[in-house]
Amino acid sequence: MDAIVRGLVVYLFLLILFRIAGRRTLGSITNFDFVLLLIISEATQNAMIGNDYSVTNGFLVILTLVGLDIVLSYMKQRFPAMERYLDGLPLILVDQGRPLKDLMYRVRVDEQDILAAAREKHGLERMDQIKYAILETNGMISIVPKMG
Amino acid sequence: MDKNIHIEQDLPFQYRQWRLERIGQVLIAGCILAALLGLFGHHPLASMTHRTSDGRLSIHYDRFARVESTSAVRLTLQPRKSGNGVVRVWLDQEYLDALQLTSISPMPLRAEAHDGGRTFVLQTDGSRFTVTLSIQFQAVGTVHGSVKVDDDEALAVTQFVWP
Repeated sequence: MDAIVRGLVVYLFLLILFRIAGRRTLGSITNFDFVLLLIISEATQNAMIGNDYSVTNGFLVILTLVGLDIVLSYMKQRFPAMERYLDGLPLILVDQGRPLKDLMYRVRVDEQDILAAAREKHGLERMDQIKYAILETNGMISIVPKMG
Repeated sequence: MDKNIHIEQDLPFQYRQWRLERIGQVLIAGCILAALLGLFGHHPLASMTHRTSDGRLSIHYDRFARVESTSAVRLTLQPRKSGNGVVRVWLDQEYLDALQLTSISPMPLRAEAHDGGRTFVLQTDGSRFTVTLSIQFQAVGTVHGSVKVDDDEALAVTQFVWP
């Protein structure tokens, strides 16, 4: 029972925490984000396992986490409204080459981030070559280049 | 905005989300501040001291503690002249049920079940000394205890144990 409650609480805590932290927090993994991810997993481990190092306990925690993931994916499919709250919605940041500064400021993305994504994915050089830049729900920036 | 692009964007929803995000960020800051001020235990400000009216016994403990984590209760006491240096420290059962006593220093001569609790019998040289109880909480929430020395006035202990 203990293992299941611990798994559940930690899962919900992390779910809410990363929603609060915003999409960009672990969206594009820089070196430091990678280190952060490792430290978080290390700190979480103790909270989930407690002082019970048995295989049974480990399995129960894993089953709980994977089970929750499956349940949530079914619920998202069944109730699309829930998906918005859990994953957020995509957001257009550049519209016809025009950066939408207010929205960019709120999601903590700057023009350099967008230009970097444009270079990386399409070899674009300037903002006016971008038709749309969209912040996806997974924190990545996708670019639609202008034709011609 | 050109709607050639098929995308599920909802700006009013997005603004509501950002407001929630802001509230969440304030909560995170609040939790960190509370931890720095000792609300979650393991902190000098989270400890407390009580004294009996005659000053023979004082107890120092953590107001906030955490489950399965080590905490200490320190009793400073003055043995009675009449007792040949033998001191009896009594803890009530409700308190003992909420925790695991991992060590007691100095080591008692013996322990006795007594008056709905447990008595630890300690040998001293008659001068003022400190007994340290190392404990691990097994229960979560508010824990009440009561401690007394010999047949003197009992001191009440109230601790909050975080999960």
